[in-house]
Amino acid sequence: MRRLLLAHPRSVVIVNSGSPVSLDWVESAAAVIQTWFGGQELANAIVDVLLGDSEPGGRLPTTLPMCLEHTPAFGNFPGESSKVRYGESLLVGYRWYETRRLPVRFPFGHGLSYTSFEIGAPSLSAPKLEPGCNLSIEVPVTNIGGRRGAEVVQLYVAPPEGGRSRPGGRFRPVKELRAFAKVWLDPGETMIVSLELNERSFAYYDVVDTDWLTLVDRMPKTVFHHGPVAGFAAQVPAGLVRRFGYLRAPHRPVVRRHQPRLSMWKRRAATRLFRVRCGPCDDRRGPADEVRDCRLRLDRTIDPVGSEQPSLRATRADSSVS
Amino acid sequence: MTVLRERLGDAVEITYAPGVASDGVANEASIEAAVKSAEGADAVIIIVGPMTYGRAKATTERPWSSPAIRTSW
Repeated sequence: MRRLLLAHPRSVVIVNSGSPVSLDWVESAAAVIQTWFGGQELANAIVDVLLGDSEPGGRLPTTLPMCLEHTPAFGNFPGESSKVRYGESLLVGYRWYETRRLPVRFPFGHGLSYTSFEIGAPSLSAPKLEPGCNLSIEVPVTNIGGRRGAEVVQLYVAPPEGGRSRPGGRFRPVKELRAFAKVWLDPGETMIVSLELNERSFAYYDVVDTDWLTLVDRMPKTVFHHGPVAGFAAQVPAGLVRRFGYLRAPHRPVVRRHQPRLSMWKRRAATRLFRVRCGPCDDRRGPADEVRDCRLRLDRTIDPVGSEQPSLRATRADSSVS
Repeated sequence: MTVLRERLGDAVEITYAPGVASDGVANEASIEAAVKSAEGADAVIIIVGPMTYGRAKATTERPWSSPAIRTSW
């Protein structure tokens, strides 16, 4: 590949792969088109883009890493002793590279256009996100190029402390995509892109509390910042247009429903499927079905406050045994 | 190639060199032919990637690296 790119500087490389591949030659290429597996119309689509008849409007749904060792799967996949360890934890996809500050070849959400766009400063519909309400972020997007094109405005939400855990807190990715919008604009046209956020945009599910929480539940007096509202139409990664604004997160849990804590035994009993052997209990079944394995779901009745042994009743669709 | 020829017509000469074979084995002569063809062209289109989706699935142990690189233009 390097010899080919050295032989001719005006080389367009079409990467026809279904997953990220090594692009260590990319600096020498004039342009790269990632086509994935486009199906039977792929050839027509590629030629449309090559000749400028179509806008390459796609954005990367994954991160293209600098090297194998940077990927979250490295050391975890395919695993050992028939076991795969999901060592990336919450840091799936771009969250891994962002949180660990790893350089990438092309970031999640990247994509170029035949035209250029300018993304203005975002404005908030309210300085504070009230419980139960939505927050609108309006961003002006202008096509400053010479032809019609598409841009994808992406809105990320970042927790305070950059995702780093602190006493009483939870480790979170440094930012997560919460809203995006794709717009088609004629040359010189400006459109106000409105992105909506709600309480869930700032929440995460806490498996210990079994509830949706916001980080400010544990870290009051901190604020979220939303950003970047990213326009990836420029060069990468320097063209990552960052726009920061600030908003105050609600000072109460997003959802706080009363839920008694159950013992592990009760939790398991509530969901376990029992396999039992039972006698004939259905007139519609023949003698050959006298003994059969039946999968019965446990019908659980548990005292919410209770220390009592839960009464268990296994039921089948057309009969029941206690 | 077919679509390119249809769209560009006879006014544009299109040459093709297979480059690296689909089995991933580097053929020095084939690569050299591809390089020479590129040197004399006005523009070069290089297509790389696994031949089939099945091949791509077979490389999931190293999803970022394809052992079978096909180069052509």
